Amino acid sequence: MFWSSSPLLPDAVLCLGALEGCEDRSLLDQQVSCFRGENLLLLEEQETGGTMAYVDKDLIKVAQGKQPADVLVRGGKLVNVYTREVYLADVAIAKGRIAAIGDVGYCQRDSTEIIDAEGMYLVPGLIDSHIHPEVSKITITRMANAAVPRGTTSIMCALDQIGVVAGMEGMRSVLDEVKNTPLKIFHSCPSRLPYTTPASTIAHRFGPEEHDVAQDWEEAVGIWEFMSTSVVDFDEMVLGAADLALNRRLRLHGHAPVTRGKILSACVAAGMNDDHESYSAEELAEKMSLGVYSLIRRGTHSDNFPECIKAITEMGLPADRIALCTDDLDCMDIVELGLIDYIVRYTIRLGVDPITAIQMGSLHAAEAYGVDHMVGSITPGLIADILLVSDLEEFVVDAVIADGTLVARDRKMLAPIASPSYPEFFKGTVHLNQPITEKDLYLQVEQDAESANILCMHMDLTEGLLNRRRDVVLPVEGGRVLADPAQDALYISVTERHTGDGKTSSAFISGFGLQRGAIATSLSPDDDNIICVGASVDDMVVAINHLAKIGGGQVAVESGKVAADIPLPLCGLMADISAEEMAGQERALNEAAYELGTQLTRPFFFLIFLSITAIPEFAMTDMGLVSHETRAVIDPVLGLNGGQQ
Amino acid sequence: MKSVDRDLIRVALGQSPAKTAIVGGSIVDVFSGRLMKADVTIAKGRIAVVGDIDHTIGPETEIVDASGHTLVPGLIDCHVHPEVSKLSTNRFIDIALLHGTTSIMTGLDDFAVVGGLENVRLVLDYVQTTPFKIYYSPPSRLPYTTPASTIPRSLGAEEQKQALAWEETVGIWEYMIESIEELEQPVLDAANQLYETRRRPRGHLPLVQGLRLNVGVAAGARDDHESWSAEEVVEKLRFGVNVFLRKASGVDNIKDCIKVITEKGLPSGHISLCTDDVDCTDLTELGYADHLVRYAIELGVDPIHAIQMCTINPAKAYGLEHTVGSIAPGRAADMILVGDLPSFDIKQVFANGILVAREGKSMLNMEPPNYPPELLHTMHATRKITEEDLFLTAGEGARKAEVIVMHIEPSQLRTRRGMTLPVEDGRILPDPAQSVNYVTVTDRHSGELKSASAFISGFGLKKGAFATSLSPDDHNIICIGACVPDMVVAINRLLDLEGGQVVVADSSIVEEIRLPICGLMADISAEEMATKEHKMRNALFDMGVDIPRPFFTILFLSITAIPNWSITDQGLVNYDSREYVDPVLSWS
Repeated sequence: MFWSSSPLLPDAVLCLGALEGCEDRSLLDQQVSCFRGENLLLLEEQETGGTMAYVDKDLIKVAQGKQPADVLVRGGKLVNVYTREVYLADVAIAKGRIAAIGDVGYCQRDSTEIIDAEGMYLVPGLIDSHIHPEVSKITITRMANAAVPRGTTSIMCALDQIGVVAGMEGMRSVLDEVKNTPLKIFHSCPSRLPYTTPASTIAHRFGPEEHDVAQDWEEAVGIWEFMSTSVVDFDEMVLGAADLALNRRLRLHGHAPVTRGKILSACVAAGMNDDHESYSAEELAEKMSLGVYSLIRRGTHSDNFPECIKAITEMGLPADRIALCTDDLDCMDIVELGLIDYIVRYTIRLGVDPITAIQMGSLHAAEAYGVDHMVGSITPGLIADILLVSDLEEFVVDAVIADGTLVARDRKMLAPIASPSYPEFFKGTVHLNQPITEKDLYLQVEQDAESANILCMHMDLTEGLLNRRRDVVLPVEGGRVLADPAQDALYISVTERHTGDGKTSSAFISGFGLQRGAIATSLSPDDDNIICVGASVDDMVVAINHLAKIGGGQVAVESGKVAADIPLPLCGLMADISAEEMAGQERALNEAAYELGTQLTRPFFFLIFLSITAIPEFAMTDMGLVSHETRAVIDPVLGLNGGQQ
Repeated sequence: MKSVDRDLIRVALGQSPAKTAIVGGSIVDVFSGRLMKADVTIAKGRIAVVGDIDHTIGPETEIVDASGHTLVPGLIDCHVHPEVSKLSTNRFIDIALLHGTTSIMTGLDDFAVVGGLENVRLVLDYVQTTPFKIYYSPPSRLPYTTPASTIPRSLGAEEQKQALAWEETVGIWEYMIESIEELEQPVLDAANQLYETRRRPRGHLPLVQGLRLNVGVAAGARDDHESWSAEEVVEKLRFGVNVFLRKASGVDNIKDCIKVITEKGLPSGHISLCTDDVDCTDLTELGYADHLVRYAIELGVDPIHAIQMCTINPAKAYGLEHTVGSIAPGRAADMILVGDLPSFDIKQVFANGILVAREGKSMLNMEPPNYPPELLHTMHATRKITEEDLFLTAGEGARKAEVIVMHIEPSQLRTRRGMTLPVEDGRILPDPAQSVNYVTVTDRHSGELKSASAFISGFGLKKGAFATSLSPDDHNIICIGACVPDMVVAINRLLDLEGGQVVVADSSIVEEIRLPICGLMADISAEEMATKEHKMRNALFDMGVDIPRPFFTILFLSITAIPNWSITDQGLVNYDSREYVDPVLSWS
């Protein structure tokens, strides 16, 4: 399995001369003409269209000195993630891959472009070992423009949110889009869509039939979110997909939060390869002893590092089966902190030596996914993703070589990749045949009840993200249960947006602290229906209908008016704007939410995850309030007070 | 078809009872590098739970008390040609399991040369009926020899395609630097097919460093078992190559190479240990992969790292870490009970959850594979060999000849020596006084008995001759002699024996081993074979041989991939030019 992702960068013009020693003149002519803008399509097809062989005769010839290298990185200090040594070594690159390392002057001809790395460390391009890029709300091209200059050149993902809305065709479209960027995606097929149990409403399911096709894609490395619950429940949808994967020598990338003991043994016996959901060093150590790779997470909503890193810094466990991931990031984090580059810095700050931190951000992720022959180190044959770093302790990425081309300096793309035109089926995906009304949202009980005992979801952030039970008594007026901002018991609703039926369920939640207004989002893993939390049902109606009107996005509503919004017109998940622009919009939207009284610094980053039924103990989908324990929909109304009971 | 084992999940969850539980011991956790107290339960030959196992115990569950013992994962020999032990598959499995070695990685290339791929399949099917595991890689091409020598069964793209569909197949075998440098299309194609199916070619990069190492690794050779020095190992590790350090019978690369760990302090995670080729003398006296572990410990490696180098490291290098190499749920229940770690004394061996050896005694009684009859008659000759077939000649009236002598260095590498030899009646004579013997290779596959002759030094043979029909890579008859008439007797004896190894002096047989299976192997125990090896060796020592394992050195003389000289039935081969060279330079 090997594929090319040669970007059509203007910088490539610099290397064009490299082709002059090339035997195949027609290729040279073609490339030259394409840069005159005459033959762009042809080149695109040739360079990015098909699978390329891993064993490439041209690469061998360059390594032999029989053909010139395209690029030579000279004078750098190579950080070797296999031997943990740092030494002076030059790197010869051809066709976007590393041809030779060491004393490689013999690969150089007049045509060879020289990148001067004098005084710099050469570090392998970083790998995010588990991320849902859609959650950053920008297209994959925009993500590439943000991630690559910060040193994250590969991501492991499933594009599951795209899959929910736009199906396999949508996932394929994004995988094709990313080929035109210097970012690499290693793709895993979602274990099943919807992930939710009981199943909620989505536009496109992903089951064994889809697995049978997508597992053959050249980018495929496994199945995604192989959930502990699926194992315990003997979910044949998921186990059947795992059978297909094992036969293809693909790996089962797990999801086993707070899982230990016999359930962990069952997951590992089923073939779980890795997990990104450990909350303590002890949990991580237990998983390690059973052979599970741990991908320690620091995302916008969840930071498992302070606890989990103790496995290395206090328990003294080896780091070779530990990698780094973000899981979910908003653009404020991307812009202000970074991606895996930030986690490497963070890891160093927590007491891990820089080389180990770099290993976790590169080789260890590649090994966990079985792609160490492609990415994760600076060794011959690998994709030439190399970071130039001036100081290992500070770990600031000064420049980035991706696919053998210098693409970024000082965390900026030299020439950002232009967005493609997006397919029509990415647009207009928020379907509501009728506007939502307050009737759809209010929980209705007996007319003459005075108050109701309510099982309220309580967002507990003390140990990561868990939704616990909190019983409250709420007033009832005219048979409608009312929210009570004074005791932080707000309405939460989920409105199905895929079929047009607008099926809506409501319950109550605490933890957001809104005093008024409402906030809503159409980006909401795992089913990407419209989640709305409000102190005011009237404002919730406005918020939900607004999102339908703009084709998806996020919104804050106060007193019947939109205070701020972020349109996400592509799949109702993403916008074609830069990470910086998106970060600006996030700040404005958060400000608007602060005005509504929330104390959460990232209220939308909690809002979007409330439909994930795999998070204990409660979740909310268009089917209703779901108990994680029973995996069933339950009635949030426990009992009524007053009236004729 | 592989699948998620639902029954195993049920056992893990406590919904149905385990078959066996091993309780009270410590286990070597090869992932975190720690010893920990843990119990283990087994079902369907695989490990179900490690840790707290009470919920998996039913009334029928067999309990094994491991108190005071340490449980180690079953050992792996990550690069071996088992045929070179001369044992039939059943006998090899027997001695391997006895020594805690539960998995091997192999190409069965020696067997394939004679028996063809369909009989490799037969052997692999047989192995599936045992608790032993073979992870298979079809040879990168057969014959390996360059230029090609005579073999009955060549192997190329078509056979590889068949073998790549097998579940046991993990790569192609001996992905040689020479094939890469020559851009041999069929071999490169096979390597590509592997990468496309998430497997890897298994490299062969002897003495490859610098520029050539760039070439090999850029072409996807990401493991190797042919390092000769610590410096070479360091270079390979830096390039991400999984390095398999070898201690074969007669070749010990571990001793020098292990210094990358013991002296240079490099991490050992990408280093494994292998035997490559091992005779029954070593198997019975030293052991198998257990010896590699003990040896590494003896050389100063931390015991747990030594164990990792024969368990999880090779499993990971081969993409098999979910199957073997650790004591963890889902893995094959291959485990060794040892008394204490540094001495690594094996008390019991479990394979696929079955007790296969206890206190040095095998608990299995395996019939040999049902080899088809034609594999028991593989020495093909339409006539007898004669002195004329073997003697090299000089022109009329010549009294001496200038010749090329291949000299065997203690490292097993072969260098060139120019010598002058006496000529009598046009025949060039060996010169035992100068330690120069004849070496011949006789085709035994086609029936024509085509022979090539050259001269060799380094054995010290003063009289007689010895010969073998087991001789990678083409398994023709190699014979070395101080006396050509004795060579004729030796070669003809092997034809009569249906293959084997023989020592001849004064025109009579001194010692012999019959190897009737493909002319390579016999269905006798490792102990019996070792006894015969001793006798053969001692006979040769009596005849002046002064190298420790003469039969191990003679075996490999046809391998054209070993620098700098080799000999096949087609002639003397020079490694650099990959061409035949006439050993007779001139006469006068």
